[in-house]
Amino acid sequence: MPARYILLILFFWQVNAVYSQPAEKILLQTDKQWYYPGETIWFAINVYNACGDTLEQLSNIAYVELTGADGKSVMQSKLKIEESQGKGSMTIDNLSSGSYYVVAYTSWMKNFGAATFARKPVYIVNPAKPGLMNTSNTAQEEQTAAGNAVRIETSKKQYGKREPVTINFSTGKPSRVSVSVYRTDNLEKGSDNIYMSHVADPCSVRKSSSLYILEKRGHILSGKVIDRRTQMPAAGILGYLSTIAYPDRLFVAVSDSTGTIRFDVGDIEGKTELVLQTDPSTPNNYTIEINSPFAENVSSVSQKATNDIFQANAEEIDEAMMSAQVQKIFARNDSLRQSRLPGKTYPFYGKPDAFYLMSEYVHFSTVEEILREYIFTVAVQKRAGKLHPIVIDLLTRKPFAQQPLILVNGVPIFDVERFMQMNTDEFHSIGIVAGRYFMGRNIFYGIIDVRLNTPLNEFGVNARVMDFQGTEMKADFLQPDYSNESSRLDRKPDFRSVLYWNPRIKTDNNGNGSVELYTSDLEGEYIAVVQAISADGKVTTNKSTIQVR
Amino acid sequence: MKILSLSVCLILITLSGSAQKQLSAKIDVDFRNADIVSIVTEIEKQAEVKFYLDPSQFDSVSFTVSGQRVEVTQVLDRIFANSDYKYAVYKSKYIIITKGRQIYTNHKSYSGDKQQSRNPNQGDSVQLASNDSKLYVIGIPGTASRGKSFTLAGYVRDEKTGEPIVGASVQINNPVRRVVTDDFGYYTIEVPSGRHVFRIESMGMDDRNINLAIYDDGKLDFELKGRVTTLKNVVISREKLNNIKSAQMGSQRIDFKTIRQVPVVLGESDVLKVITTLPGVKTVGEASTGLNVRGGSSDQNLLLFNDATIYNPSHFFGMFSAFNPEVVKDVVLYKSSMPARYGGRLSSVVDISGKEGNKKEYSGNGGLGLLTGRIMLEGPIVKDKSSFIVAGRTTYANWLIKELPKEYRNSKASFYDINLLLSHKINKNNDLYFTGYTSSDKFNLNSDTTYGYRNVNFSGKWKHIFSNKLNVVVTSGWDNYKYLVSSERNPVSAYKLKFDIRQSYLKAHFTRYINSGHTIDFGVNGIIYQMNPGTFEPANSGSVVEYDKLQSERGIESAIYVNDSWSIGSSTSVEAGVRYSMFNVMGPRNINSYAKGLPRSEENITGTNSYDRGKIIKSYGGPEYRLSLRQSISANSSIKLSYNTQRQYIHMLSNTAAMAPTDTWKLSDPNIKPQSGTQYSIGYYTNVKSNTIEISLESYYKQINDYLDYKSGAILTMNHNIETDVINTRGKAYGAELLIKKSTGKLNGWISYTWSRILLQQNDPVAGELINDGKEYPANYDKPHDFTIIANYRINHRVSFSLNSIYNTGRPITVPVGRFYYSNSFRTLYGPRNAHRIPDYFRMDLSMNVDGNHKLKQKIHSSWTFGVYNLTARKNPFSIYYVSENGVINGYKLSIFGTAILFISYNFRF
Repeated sequence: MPARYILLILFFWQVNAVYSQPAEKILLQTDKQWYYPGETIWFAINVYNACGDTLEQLSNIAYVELTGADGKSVMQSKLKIEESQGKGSMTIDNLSSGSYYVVAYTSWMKNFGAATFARKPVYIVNPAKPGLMNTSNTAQEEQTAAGNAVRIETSKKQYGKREPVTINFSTGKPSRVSVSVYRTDNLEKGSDNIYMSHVADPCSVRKSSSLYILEKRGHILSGKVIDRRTQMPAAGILGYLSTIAYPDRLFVAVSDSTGTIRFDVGDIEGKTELVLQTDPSTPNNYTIEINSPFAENVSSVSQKATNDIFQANAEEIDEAMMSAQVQKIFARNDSLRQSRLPGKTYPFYGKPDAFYLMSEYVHFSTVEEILREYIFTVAVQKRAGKLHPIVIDLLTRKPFAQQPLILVNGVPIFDVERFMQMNTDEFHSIGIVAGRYFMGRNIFYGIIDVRLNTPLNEFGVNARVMDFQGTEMKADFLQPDYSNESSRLDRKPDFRSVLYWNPRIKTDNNGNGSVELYTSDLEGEYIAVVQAISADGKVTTNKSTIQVR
Repeated sequence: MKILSLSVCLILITLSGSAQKQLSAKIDVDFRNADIVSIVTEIEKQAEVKFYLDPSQFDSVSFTVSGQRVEVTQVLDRIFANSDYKYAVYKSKYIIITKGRQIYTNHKSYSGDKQQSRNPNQGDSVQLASNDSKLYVIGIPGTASRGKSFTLAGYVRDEKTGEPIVGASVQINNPVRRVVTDDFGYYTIEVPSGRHVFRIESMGMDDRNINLAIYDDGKLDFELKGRVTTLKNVVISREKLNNIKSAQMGSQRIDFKTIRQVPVVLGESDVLKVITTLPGVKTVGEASTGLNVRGGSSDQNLLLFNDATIYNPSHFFGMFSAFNPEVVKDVVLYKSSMPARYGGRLSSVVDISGKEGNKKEYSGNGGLGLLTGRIMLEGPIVKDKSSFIVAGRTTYANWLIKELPKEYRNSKASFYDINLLLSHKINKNNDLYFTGYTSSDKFNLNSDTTYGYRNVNFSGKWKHIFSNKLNVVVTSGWDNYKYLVSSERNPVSAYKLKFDIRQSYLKAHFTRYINSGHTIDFGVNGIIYQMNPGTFEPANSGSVVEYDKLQSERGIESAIYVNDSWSIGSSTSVEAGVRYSMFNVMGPRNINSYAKGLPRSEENITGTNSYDRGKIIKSYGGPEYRLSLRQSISANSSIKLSYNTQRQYIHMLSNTAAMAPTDTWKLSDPNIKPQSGTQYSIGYYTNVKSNTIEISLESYYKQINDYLDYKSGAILTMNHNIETDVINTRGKAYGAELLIKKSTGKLNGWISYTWSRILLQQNDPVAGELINDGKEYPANYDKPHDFTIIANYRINHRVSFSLNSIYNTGRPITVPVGRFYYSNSFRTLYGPRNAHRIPDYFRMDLSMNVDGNHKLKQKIHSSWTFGVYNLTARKNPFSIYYVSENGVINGYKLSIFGTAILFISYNFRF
């Protein structure tokens, strides 16, 4: 969709927002509360319409951070929200011991202040980096109708190692259920608390700014166009943003009166590189600086740490560390992340008017020869001693007077001379759009789209490249299958302290459901926590313990 | 680690006394090369313990241990001693074996391990900064307070080799901080939080300016690129510098692509026609493939096609050469310093190499021109091992003959040639090649006389590599050339005139690489000749023609040679070779002897000696020296000198300047001495414009002894005493040749200019009649000035234009100076031999080549050639002759192509 319409829609959204002030709040769940080096924090969010208290998705992207006692972020992640739900994980490697918060929010929520963010305390124990803790939670809990609201039934009370466990639950009405089964000890006592964004109720908080845009259809990258000479923001400058991942895509946007530029890039998943450029035909040199989408100040609460747990709980820590080490060393290849995005997509311009696969043609060593020899929709003209490729309009059958848009791996190349000197050995294909192409308020006089076999790593002088982390790729909590004898006898240790985590279970119409899992080699007491969210947004929870001997 | 884990065990043991029984149980073990699983299974049987391990970490590892009443940990300590395996005991019962990494059962010992306390958020992978456009980020934006400083450390490396760069400077400007990498290329720098531009510099490397935002301590490696001062997009290939770096002089290699570009008559690409555009190479007339190289006659060229000697390389009155261009890979012409492995001809070697067939897939080429059609098929016989090429060419030229001057209009002509090339790779050290070739021509020139001739050649070649330093090529083959002239219309006078020559040969050529300074070539050659110089016989039983046969001739030519390619440093190289050749005239044969001191004539025959079969009648022989020297003057110019001597034992008897089908060959015998020649040459070679233009200037002086010329009125066919009609002359040739060649770019081609003379002299009254009173006279192919332009302009890769332009001095002829009345008719009286010249020759041809599209996969790749031969329609005289007609002597000027000829040809590949 051309950027101009997006801007128009965004404008309406903002106008709308001032009056009806839709607000979001997030319900945040984690698999457990105490973590050791090498372990993974599994988390899930459910997004509510804050004023209606019903599950309702406004934003499409959620931001999750792990913040330390000083309120500074140590890890960050982005989640894609689908059906008002999102899930993800963070593997903590070598963080210092201490109290942390998992904080979740959307871009829209940043307008209401950090107090409206969802926040759940977690504790990280790292003997290599000891520290004090604050084990009394200051975060707001959602008071839930606990106890009998959810009925839990385990197949047995006591299990052996690598034995199947069935947990049946009943919520009374159709619900979304999350189930977590993990080992408890003196530190991990098995909390069934659910944490919501309730330091301040977003519905009652007056929106403090309209700076942040509702990310309804994916990432909206915002930044500033800066004049390199004056270091001042520049208005009305056309910016180009390309994502260098498969599929590579191109976006254009114009900076507003404050120099702010926003690119509506949609879904981006995993790590990619962004190439930012401004139109070089403008006289001055501009750069685009993209802001971090994470909130500048996540934690309005700092925690006072007092407890030294290492003295008091040495035995528990030894055991938990043992299990964490074993799991890290004998890690199964279960963290394969999968993309949620469709595999093959067409370029933004759709089907090209002409397409040439280099492997089907005689190899020529210069771009000029390729264009002259068999690409008939492009003419090579000599202007002031320099070669210029010019696209021939399919409609008029005449060459355009203007330069075409030249893309190499999706990145616009404005320096035609550099393009003409590219090494053609790496060319994979060339697609040609032989006509005017409109993108936003921009007109491209034909497009020459070159794909290379290798990544492009030399960009123009004005280009700025940055890493960009899109939303997390899909990573399911995997558990071993001990249904056959040989896997039960496998000598590889299974010291999982978290036996099961699934935040996305749907009950049947009567509110009944069940999960199946296997115990690990780790003896001890385990707790199964079942939390249910009914269709009208009500949260109920219950827990049950089992023994592994 | 082991001690540590033991102490851990002890702690655990003291913690849980009840478990002591299990772990401290005394067990008996006796394992020999046992795998880990069977060991732990056995221990588990004897003690109440459970082992955890990953069997894949013990792949093909076995242990030997034995002991009576030992503890479990003792067994483990023993088998894991001095290995990377470690174990930990949990709850005195569970034993976990790991490889490389230790599991700590106590959190305090865990924290004591240095490995565990790395920087937070620093995984094993360190960011690599190698892109000036990119913003690199260390830490999480917004988490660092302003003004706080962080430590950044890492390596500076060479992008290409990955080697660390010592002494590289790493610097920021705000505030100014600068550090230098240590001996391991490692740097550590203290930087305030926020955005910085890091400038990394090192000698001989391109500077890097890395944008970095830092919000935490971290690691970052930098990569620098070697500074390359490139000449813009110029590839200097070995081939291009070859003319400067090789000591060989006067040699030119032309590949099939170049051959195709040069327009020739009627659009048929032609190997020998391209050779004639090179400096120092001339032909007598335009429709002639007889070459005259540096003043040599047309029989002084050794024409080899895959080692087979081709005696008559022409088709169709010499209008085409007898090589199907589809099978030719390249052709090399040696005209001054001939490598020692070639011999037997005075002037030049034209070595034509056939293609090797496609060993992967079947394909074919072909073409249809106005006069000829040709096709070539190639493909694997056994994939990747052996291949074949079979090619054929034929003509449908009769329509053109109808366009010839009316006295030739009832002529007929046909020809064909067939090639079969096989190659087989036995293994990586042995290759076999086979070449079969035949060409056949038949025509009559508006009369009842039919001329036919045929070449048949077979050759086999075995290439063997003994080692990287020694290899050998053994070649053996059989060559045959024969002609037949017949007239059968009148049964009474019907006759056949036949000639044939056969030769069998064996060659072994060794190349021995000694060191970077010396490469030695050596080998032996042997050729057995068998020749029937002429048979004249009645063509049918009614004919009254009397049978006549010249006695057959036999000879053995053998040679042994050695050559050293010697490089003295990079600027001087020498090719020094010596070849000892020998020719034995073999019986059976009758040889006339002549009175000494008198001219050879039938009156002066003193006797005839008869020799038996196998008897050596006469031996000739002697050393031939091949010496050339190169001295580089600069990086792209050199001077070369060469000195060569040659011997030739076989001579062509021809009364035409061109090669004609009725030319016969003659072996040396006691009355016909071998020809010998000596050539001195000097050359200057330079490449300009980044090696894109080659310029060479060569000059030579050549002496020829015992060159055969003919007495006036000599009879060359069916002459039993041919030695009485020939004279030995001395010749000298000298000249200068300039070649400017551009082989790349849109405009390519060459310009050659030759100034040369060839003068003969016969001043020995004893040897026979004096020619031109014993003064020097030019040979009939002496053309002092010769100028050629071959230009090819590519508009793009599909369309190109080619232009030939040739100018040379007219060749000498002997003209009548008067007439006399004899026997009721006027007869011509000829003046001095070769004292006059026919008008100068000039011709310009233009052709356009259009290739098909550039798609790689299509059924047929087509290309077209359109052109005009003799664009200016100049009537170039081929010869001038005088005929006495009805008592009047009339002079005629014969032009072969007296008009512009349009042509078109179609080529295809599949």
